[in-house]
Amino acid sequence: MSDRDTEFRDFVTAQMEPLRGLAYLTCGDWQAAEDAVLTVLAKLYVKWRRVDNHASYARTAVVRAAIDETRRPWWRREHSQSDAMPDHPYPDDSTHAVDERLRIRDALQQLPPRLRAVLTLRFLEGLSVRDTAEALRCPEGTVKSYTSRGLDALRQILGVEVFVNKELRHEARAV
Amino acid sequence: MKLELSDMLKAGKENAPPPRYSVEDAVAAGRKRQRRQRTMFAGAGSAAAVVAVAAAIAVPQIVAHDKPSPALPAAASSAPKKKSFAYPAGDFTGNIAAFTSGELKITDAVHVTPGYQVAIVVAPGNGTDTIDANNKTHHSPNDIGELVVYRKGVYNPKKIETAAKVSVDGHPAYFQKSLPGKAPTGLKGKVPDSAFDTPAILAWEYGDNAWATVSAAARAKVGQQELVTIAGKVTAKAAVPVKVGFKLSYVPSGYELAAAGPSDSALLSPMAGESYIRLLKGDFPYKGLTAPAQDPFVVNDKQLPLVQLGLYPSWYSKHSAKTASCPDQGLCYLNTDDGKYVLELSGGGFLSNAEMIKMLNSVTFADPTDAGTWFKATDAVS
Repeated sequence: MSDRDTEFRDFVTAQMEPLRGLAYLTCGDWQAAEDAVLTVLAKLYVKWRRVDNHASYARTAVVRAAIDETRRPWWRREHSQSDAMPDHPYPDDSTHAVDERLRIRDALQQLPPRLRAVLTLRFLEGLSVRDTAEALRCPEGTVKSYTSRGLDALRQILGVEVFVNKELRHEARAV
Repeated sequence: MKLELSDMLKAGKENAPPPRYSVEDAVAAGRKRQRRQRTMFAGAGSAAAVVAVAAAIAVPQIVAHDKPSPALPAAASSAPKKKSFAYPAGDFTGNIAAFTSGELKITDAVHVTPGYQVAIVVAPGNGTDTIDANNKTHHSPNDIGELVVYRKGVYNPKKIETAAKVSVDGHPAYFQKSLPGKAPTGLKGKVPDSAFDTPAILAWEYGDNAWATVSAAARAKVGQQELVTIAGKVTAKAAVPVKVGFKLSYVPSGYELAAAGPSDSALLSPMAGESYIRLLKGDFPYKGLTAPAQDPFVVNDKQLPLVQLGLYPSWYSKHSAKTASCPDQGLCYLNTDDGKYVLELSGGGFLSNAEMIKMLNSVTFADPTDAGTWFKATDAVS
């Protein structure tokens, strides 16, 4: 087995699940998310020696691929009446925790993909404004604006106060 | 009640289904991709030689225009046996002539960019149905593919040169057969499997370094010979400026027209009254394309700011806006006076809502139902 294969396997073992979650939060469909991740990992395998930061490359590419999934023509036409699309039927015997999780997931799904991607990269992956802008190839101002609007939108949808943790609070307020 | 955002995001991805792909699947996909690339690069040289020989004996059927070249008269082709097709010299003029081929109908150019023009291939019957807010069903045409005629030097045939070598009236051509797709489990019943088909595609060199492609979804069961027949029937009509059903007197600084026509970027048969404009900030180089360009438009590793405007029948949109408003992040709307059509402005994350409202407040609508009242796209954003 080549060094490249060993390194790649180690990387995928550690990163596949987080990447899957990242893609899902961006595009809202587990299967599309997994397809996006597999495509990105296949590309990464080919250019393994030419990429300096494998995690950063994969994260950025996965978010972009997941956003692309939401741009397919069928997506637009089939979603013209509804933006929310839960993967699983809601269980009848929901506990409060399950209810809350589904409510949060639906709230996130109501945000446009790029805005969701900004929130995910910043507050789940912990990227800075600059790194998020770099990952999404958009101006830093857009990231700041999306962060602020995303928080506002979630507050409105959920009817609760949404806050960010202490380390990020200062930056969020500065947007 | 308070919720912490990172906790919310973690909760949002909980309860994931079991993964479909393993580490070994990722390794296998990577190896397969690498093999494919090696095969492609290895095959490129010999294929190019064949193209050169074939081109020397080909009878030009359609004549490509390199963008900087002045318009050539139709008679410029050396010995045309069929009516010539001269690619228009102007950036936003289309000249694909509608025609039929068996049961298939090919539209006029419905989407035009500086690098290519697109017509839609339509089969008999209805396509996707859309159910509006009043539970009324609207049938879409049965789109099965696109005819794309690229300006000289825009299309890169290297990718398709690994497919089967064929000929269109003596012109070098390649045919890639279709492969059926499968809808993801989460979309079963909501989206037909055919939405994930790899379409059959034929690419042919209609002039020196000038290519056109025609594609057909697997569900249409259109084979190589039918696509070759369609390709052989492509002709030009007099070039006409592409028009849209609205115009703006305010466009943010730096944004310029990049695409326009009755069909939006989804490249589907336009609905009655539909029209579309794409604006880009920065130059997008129309070269090396293997398919119509799609968002994101990346140049030198940077995404060009993109703004899109689409005028649709009101039933197609869940939004209604007598005055310009932005109910969704990055999406703003404005109805026509009679409320029968709605203009959707997508800022792509590059414009503030205030800027988009300013754009919409500068809009003048034509009568969407009367194409004779529409504006030249080049005038619509000046």
